[in-house]
Formats: sequence, C-alpha cells, structure tokens
Amino acid sequence: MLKFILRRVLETIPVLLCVAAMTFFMCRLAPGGPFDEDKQVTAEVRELLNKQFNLDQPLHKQFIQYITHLPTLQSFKYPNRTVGEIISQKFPVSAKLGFFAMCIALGLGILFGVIASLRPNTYIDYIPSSLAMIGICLPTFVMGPLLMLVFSLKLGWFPATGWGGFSGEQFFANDMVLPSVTLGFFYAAYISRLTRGGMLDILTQDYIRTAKAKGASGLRVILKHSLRGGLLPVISFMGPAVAGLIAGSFVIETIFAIPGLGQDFVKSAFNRDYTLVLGVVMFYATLIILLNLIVDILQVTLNPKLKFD
Amino acid sequence: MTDTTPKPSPIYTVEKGESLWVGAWHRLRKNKMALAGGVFILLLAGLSFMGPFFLEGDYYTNTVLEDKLTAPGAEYTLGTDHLGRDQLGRIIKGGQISLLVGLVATFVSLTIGIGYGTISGYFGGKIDSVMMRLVDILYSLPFVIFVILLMVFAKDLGDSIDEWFRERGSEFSISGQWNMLLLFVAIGAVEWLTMARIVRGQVMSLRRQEFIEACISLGLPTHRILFRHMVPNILGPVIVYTTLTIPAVMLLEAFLSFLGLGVQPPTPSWGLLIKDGADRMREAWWMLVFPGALFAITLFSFNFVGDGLRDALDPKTSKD
Repeated sequence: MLKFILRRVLETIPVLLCVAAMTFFMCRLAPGGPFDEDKQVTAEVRELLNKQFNLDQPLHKQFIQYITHLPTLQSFKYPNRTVGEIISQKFPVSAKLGFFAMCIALGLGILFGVIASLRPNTYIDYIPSSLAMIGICLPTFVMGPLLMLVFSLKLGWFPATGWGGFSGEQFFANDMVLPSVTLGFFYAAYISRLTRGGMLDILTQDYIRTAKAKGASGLRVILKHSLRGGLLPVISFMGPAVAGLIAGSFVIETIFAIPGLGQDFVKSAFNRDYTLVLGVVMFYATLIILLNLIVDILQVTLNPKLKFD
Repeated sequence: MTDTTPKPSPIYTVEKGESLWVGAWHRLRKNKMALAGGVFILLLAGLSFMGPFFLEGDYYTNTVLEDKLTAPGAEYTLGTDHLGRDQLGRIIKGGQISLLVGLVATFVSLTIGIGYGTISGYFGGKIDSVMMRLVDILYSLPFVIFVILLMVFAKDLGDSIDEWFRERGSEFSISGQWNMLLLFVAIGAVEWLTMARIVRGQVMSLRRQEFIEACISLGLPTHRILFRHMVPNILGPVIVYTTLTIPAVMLLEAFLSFLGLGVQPPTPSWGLLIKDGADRMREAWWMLVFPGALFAITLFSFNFVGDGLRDALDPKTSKD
C-alpha cells in the first residue's frame, strides 16, 4: 500500500505542474490585465505597478517565481494580503459548507437508498426513488433560490443570506441550514440511487441468504453484511463528488452571499488577479487529487476483489 | 452454399427473429416515462425552433418599460421581466440557445470521445495504458475551474480576432458568436472523458470477436476496420450515453450562464433567465419559477429517455 501511495504522490507532481502551467499561461496570454479597470492610472504609475508585481519580467521568469513563492505572493486586488492568507481565511467557510452538505448527502442518501432497496418496485421504493430523481434534475441554482423563496421570504424560518450569524464565529447557526441543504440535496439524491443499486446487487447474493438462514436479524444483515458491499458504488462516486461540491459551492456562495473561497475565485478571475487565481486553482487541484487518492485507498480496503496495483 | 432454411410447413408459422433495434423499440414503447420524456423533448424542440416563426422579429428583446414586472395574465401569458420583456418569448429563445449548446457541445464531446476510445481500445497494450492513464489524470482535475478560467480569459479574444481581420481589410467578424463557440469548445472538451472510457471498453470486447479477426486477415486497412466495422457496433451504448450527456452539458451551460460566464445578454439562455429570476424573486416569482421548472422538466425528460434507452438496448444491465 505504501508503494501505491508513494507512486500516486509522485505522479501528482507533474500533473500539478501542468495545471500550474496551463492556468498561468491561459491567464497571461489572454488580453487584458489587472490594472485595466483603473482608468486614471497614468503610464508611469502603471510602469511602477508592473515593476512592483514583477509584470515587467519575461514570462518564464515570472512563472518560476509564481510557482516557487505562490503562498507568499501578494494579491493584485487586495494589496498587503498574500495568497496564502486569503485562502486560509476563506477556505474554512467553504470547507464547513461542504462538510455539512456531505453529511446531509450521506445521511439522507444512504438511508433512503437502503429503504428503497429493501422492497424494490413497491411504494416504499417508488417514493424515495422519485424524490431522488427530482433531486438529480433540480440544479442547485434553481433549488437554492426556490428554497430561499419558500423558507425565508414566505415562511421566515431561516435567514436568506449570511453565514454563521452576526459574529460569524458560531459553529452552527440557522443561516447555514438552507445553503447546506441545497448543496447536499443533489448528492443525497445521487447517493440514494447508487446505494439502492448497490444494495439490490448485494441482497440477492447467496451469502446474504446464508446470513438470514443462520438467524441474523434483519438489521444485522443490513448493517453488518450488506452495507459494506452495497456502499462500494457510493465510495467510488465520492471522488467526483468532491470536485462537484467545490463547483457547487461557487453557485451556493453566490446565491446565499457566503464569504467563502468559491466566490473569491470567480471574482479573482474577472479581476485578472493572476496570483490569487493561480493560488486558488493550485489549492483546489491539490485538494481534489488528495481526496481522490483517499477514495481510491478506501475502495481497495473495502472491496476485497480490488488490489493495489 | 445451398439454401438450408427449412421451408415453413403449413401448420407451424415460422418464428421471426427480432433485430436488436426492433426489439429495443418494443421494450422502449412499454416504458411510459421514457416515452413521455421523448414526447416532451420533441414538443420543446418544436416550440423553441418553430415558435419564433409565429412571433415578431424582436420577440425576446422588445422592451416595454411601462409593463415591467407584470404578473402572468391575459396580456403576457408568463409575465414580463424587469425590463418589460415578454417572458414567454425569452423562454422560447432561451430554449433555443440551451438546446443548441446541449446538442453541439455533446456532438463535440462525442466525436472526441469516440475517436479517442476507439484508438485506445483497438491498439491496446502500451498505447492503451498511456491513453487511459491520461484520462484518469484528467478525471481527477478540477475541470469546472478550467472551464470558468477559459470563459473569463478567452472572452475578449473574439474582439482581438476581429481586429486582426479588420487590419487585413477583411469584413470577417466572429465576436458576435464568439461566446457560443467558446461554450461549445469548452464544454465539449470537458465531457468527452466518460464517453472515451465507454467506447474503449466496447471496442476491447469487440476486438476479440471473429469478424474483426476476419477483417484483419483479409488485410483491410486499419481505418476501414475501425470506422466501418467497429464504430457501428458500439452505437448502442454510445446513443445511451449521448442522451445522458445532453442534460449534463445543458446543466454546465446553465451553471456558467448563472455565474455570468456563458451566453451574453441580451440573448437569453435558461441559465441566464434563472439567474435574473433568482435576483428578483422577491418582486416577481414568475421570473424564477417558469424557467426553473421548464429546465428541471427538460433535464428530467432527457434522463428518463436515457435510462429507458439503456434498459431497452441492453436488457441485461437494466437497473433492477
């Protein structure tokens, strides 16, 4: 296993370099620059600014400087703040949103999926299954505003915007409910479908019949014997799901005005904030690759048919 | 060879075999949800592409400021938006754009995916493992982030291209359609990965069958084997996955438009209409509810048709 992890980590290095190069050159070869919007800037000031941010040096030198000093580079839009500072301040908000959403997704998804799989093609199956279909087809950017319209504007149960109340310090506040539900619902729907499919495969296996024949209780058969195999499709979905959660958080943070990293990323791209763009892209890429690695390891640990190759 | 088919005796009628496609059609016809989805998609396409012939030329940009934010009623069936534009016309035009992006970008990803997967699966060995490792790596990248970057940074490139042509005395202009072109390429470039995997798997299993070996021993050129004998045989799974890619592409387009990166106003797409609606839902619920519901039902229909086709074309792998 160690060898497997080592190989994957080594493989990551060229991949991340490629990501950095693609991002950097896509930013820099496109027309426009970070100071285009400040109309008043005179030629001399612009030159000074270019000098301050090393924009006057040849591209390859800049690239090397960017990738070697990324976390300590200054943001173009928020001078005096480094890329590392901005990410470490904003990411915890996004991570918390993602964490709550994932909890909802896994909790509801597995519960509904298991229930649906126990009595296939009856109403006990149809109701959660059609709920899942709705969840899959209702995009977050439709679902979010709709939930906001009903639960905060009409019923007034939850605040429409914000994150963590006034102080922003609480671990949980009721303004976190709607964003987390919106983001989690799609994945809950998907996970319940995958769980149902996986469980249906497992429940017809001989060893489940054996377990029942030995007199194991229904609950024990589900929890102890079936779930491990039945959840395999869910585990392999977790890799892409994490990438999707990050993309989803861009939208959710825009809708609910949450001060997370996703919103910053879109803004920084519009602002041509080269350093911040590169920083956030590299951060997300590393995160996704790392989480994918963890998912792969989990998959092999849970599925005896797979081996680390 | 002599004709060995037994002549049908007058007492027994000969059982006629069903071809894959006829059988699939029979199974699909029994699937009510898939049929309803198919009918809905056809109606929607008809409305979006034929509807404009019955409307005035500026049906989706005509601004009547006195009528802004009118609720649905006799005059405006689906109400008006914040600039007094008829919501029905905007939805029709938006449907055109969304469906067009869905179809063209899917076609782009289809072409890349089939080409890549066929080559990888047919040649196998080292080529295959390198090509598939690349797909694995691409899978683990934050692609949406790249699409966002591409849409932001290449936005002004259309103007630069126009400039380049103008300097050379050409009337050629691309900036009007630039954003659409960019959407096709960006989305198509992202969505081909799964298709490549599916095609590769199919080709690998075909590769070992006798009729392909016969082709090889007959000395047919490789491209002919690939595109005459392989590709038609993998159509089933490809069609299924295509119907499932279209909604994914439409979703990505709407996602980009929602973030302000997709289709540029005043041209509407459903994502843009949903965005406008979300911004003004306090005053005008109809601006959010109608495009949102229509979009969700469309995705629903495509998914049902895709699922139905999968069950129909491959009865063995149907879900339950």
